[in-house]
Amino acid sequence: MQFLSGRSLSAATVALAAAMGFTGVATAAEVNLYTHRETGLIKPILDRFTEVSGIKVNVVFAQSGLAERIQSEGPRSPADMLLSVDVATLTHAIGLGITQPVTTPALEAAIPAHLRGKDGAWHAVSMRARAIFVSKDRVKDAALTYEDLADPRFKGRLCIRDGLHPYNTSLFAAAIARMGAPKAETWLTGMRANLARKPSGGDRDVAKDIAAGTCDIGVSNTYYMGLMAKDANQKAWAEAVRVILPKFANGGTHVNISGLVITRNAPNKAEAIKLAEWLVGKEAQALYAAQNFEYPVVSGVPVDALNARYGVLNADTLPLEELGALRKAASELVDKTGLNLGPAP
Amino acid sequence: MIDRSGRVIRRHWQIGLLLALAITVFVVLPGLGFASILFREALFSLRFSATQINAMHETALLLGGVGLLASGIGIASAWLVSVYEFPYRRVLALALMLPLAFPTYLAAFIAVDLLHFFGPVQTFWRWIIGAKTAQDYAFFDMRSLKGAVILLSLVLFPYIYVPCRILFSRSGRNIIDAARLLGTSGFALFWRVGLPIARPALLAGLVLALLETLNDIGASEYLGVSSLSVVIRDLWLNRGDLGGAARLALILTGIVALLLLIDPANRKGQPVQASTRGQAEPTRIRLQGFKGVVAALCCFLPVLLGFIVPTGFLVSRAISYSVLGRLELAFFGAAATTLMLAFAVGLAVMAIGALVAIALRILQKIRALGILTTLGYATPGTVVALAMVPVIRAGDDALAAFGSSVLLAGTSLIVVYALAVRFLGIGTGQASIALARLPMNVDSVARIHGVRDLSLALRVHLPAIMPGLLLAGALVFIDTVKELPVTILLRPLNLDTLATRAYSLASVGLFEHAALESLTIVAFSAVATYLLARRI
Repeated sequence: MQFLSGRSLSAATVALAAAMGFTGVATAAEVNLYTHRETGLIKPILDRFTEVSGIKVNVVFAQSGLAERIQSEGPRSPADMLLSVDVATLTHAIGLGITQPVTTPALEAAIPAHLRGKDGAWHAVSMRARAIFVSKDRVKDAALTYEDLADPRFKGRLCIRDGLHPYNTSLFAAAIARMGAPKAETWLTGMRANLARKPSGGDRDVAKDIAAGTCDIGVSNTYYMGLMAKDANQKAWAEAVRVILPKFANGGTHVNISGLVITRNAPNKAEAIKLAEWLVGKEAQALYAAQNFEYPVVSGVPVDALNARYGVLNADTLPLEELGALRKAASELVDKTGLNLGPAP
Repeated sequence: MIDRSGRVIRRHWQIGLLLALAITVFVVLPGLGFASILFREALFSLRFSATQINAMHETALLLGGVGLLASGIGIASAWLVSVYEFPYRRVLALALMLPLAFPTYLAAFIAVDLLHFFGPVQTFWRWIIGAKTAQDYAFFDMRSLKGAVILLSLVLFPYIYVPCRILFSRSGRNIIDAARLLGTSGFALFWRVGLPIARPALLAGLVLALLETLNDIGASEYLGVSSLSVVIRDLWLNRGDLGGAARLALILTGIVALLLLIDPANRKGQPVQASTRGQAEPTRIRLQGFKGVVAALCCFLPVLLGFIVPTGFLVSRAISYSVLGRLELAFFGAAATTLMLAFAVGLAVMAIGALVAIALRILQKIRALGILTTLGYATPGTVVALAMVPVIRAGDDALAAFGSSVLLAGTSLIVVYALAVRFLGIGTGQASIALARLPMNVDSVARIHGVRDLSLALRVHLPAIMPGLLLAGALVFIDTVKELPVTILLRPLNLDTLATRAYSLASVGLFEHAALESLTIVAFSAVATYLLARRI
């Protein structure tokens, strides 16, 4: 037993780690939430839920990979609910077999049928419109279609984030559904020809680069305008930009959703359902709209004043599940057209 | 030599058992975990999409660029502070390690902000040339492959600087002095003497810097570089294309295997380096006047760009986003968690690293096993994290079979385990290098005096490798403080580290609001770096 020094070191490690590991083991009612939605953005809503219901919400946040974690944790996974920022993640999770459908009268009454899965496989809690940002000074169009993003008059003037980011693949999936694959490919090729810079950065960078004059037109979700307006250092970017809610020539404005699924082995299923119902209740919906500038899914909850300025949202009526199914095809189209390689030589 | 071929393992079965256990837990199980994920998907396709081919291309350029630039900065600064005497040399010699404290992802956010149209650099430039909009002039775009090369080089060069400096001021000292006596000086001294003797140190550091480059996701992604790690993560987690991700991961492993082959730490028959303990402070060539100022500036520039400027930026942002408002309980919790994790992982890696290195020395013939322990370091963090999940589940299944209700999944223990798997290579690497300096004769003499395995390990080997182990511990501490992908994917509910808090805010484009977290990360790593620097 002379190897004790090495062992006691690891033993100390283990003890130390264990001491900090089993935190939050409480007997009170709780629900375990795995979220792709950033914690800070949903915290006020979750805190309010705890206040009202007495149910504690335990949270872990990551931008990707949580469905895979639930899958690998298996039958004893502590996760009750997965909250995502797009529908494809939800359909992916459903495909992995880690979810269970849930229907309750409250959920059915609150969420319009096209914003929840068949038999309650998934539920949307808010909508996010993929908009076109244009320079207030340099672009005069009052209305634009998504097809216009490939218009040669915008050559060298377009900014967009990584073409493979879920926000974009979801838009491109909608384009495939609306235009058909061959036309969608021509469209993406046209967009590549229009690029002012290599796709990179985030949606805020689109506004920032338009303000700087690097580009005149870009693709971004609407709620970033609200978030930038709240930030003293970023206000100027928002002010240089005008938001256009575009439509497909034969469709509406592309929206994606923040949505949730209940996990197959949810240990706190009853609490998870309560949380789901709370999230689509009037109070949470209003909080969400005011705090994050997303569009509520529940009719009758007012759109935030800032969003209202962009006009009425005519969301595309494509079934969202179809977008999930086309996501891979959309990614392959990004590969094929070389959008991510930057402006065509 | 006391031991001969086949009987080695039988004779040293105790230590062999411990070694086998360590290798199983820290290498084989994660490997099997990865394999079990791979086999869910068909692997047998050799068709690569344009994006995947592009990823290989961009990764090659990135590695080449960082390799050249980081080596250049690292070896040149190490040469200057070791061979010459100039104003502020002592301070600069320490400060040159500080860029190591900066996580690459933070550096990327900061650099883009500083060099953007609205940043201070371009604003100043416009003022000089009288331009108004971005259309009026051309300016270097940070969000590019070139930008990524420069940025990564500026924060990773200390990996090369440190071993080169140790070499120039210790074991290489006599050769340099002899060359000087024979009349070689100036650039010729560097080119004909310094560079050739620095090769092993340069390569060892270069491998670390390139492994970090290969593993980087945050900075590459933000700068628009589609490196292999970025594309692997994307294929796996955004597209659900496990097969494609796995194929690229295998290519990545191939690159790493090549890198490890050039790493002198893994080569047999390297010369035993003479101990220089008690040797007097070397005499340095004094650079007078203008030359001294130039040398000081050359050493100051990497510190300025790799540490002072980004830290200054964070401080200014911390002030403009009112730090005090963020000094909440959760922040202190995250800071405490970060420290505990970093200590736990550091200690674990030191312990297992020592065990593996010593066992491999005693068992002699199977030294190549050491390379295995570096595989975790060579694998993208995301892949390590997901490979660990089946292992954890198997452990939980086993526990359940024994009627235990304790769940390993979602505990900090798992995060420590996964990070130890990831960073074990640093521990075994440093311990092996330190052990290699101890002549084998020492073991033989001890054995003649009847010293057996365990006491040989404890009384002879362990003291000999302690400096190397502490170095490894400090490096792992710094790496853990900065670490993101593994912590994010495996951390327990409600548990945040400083890095995950910063990442959270950065993911919604608000990384400036995390200036306090970022500064604390840098402060923790900088303290560890400083302690490490004092030992050199």
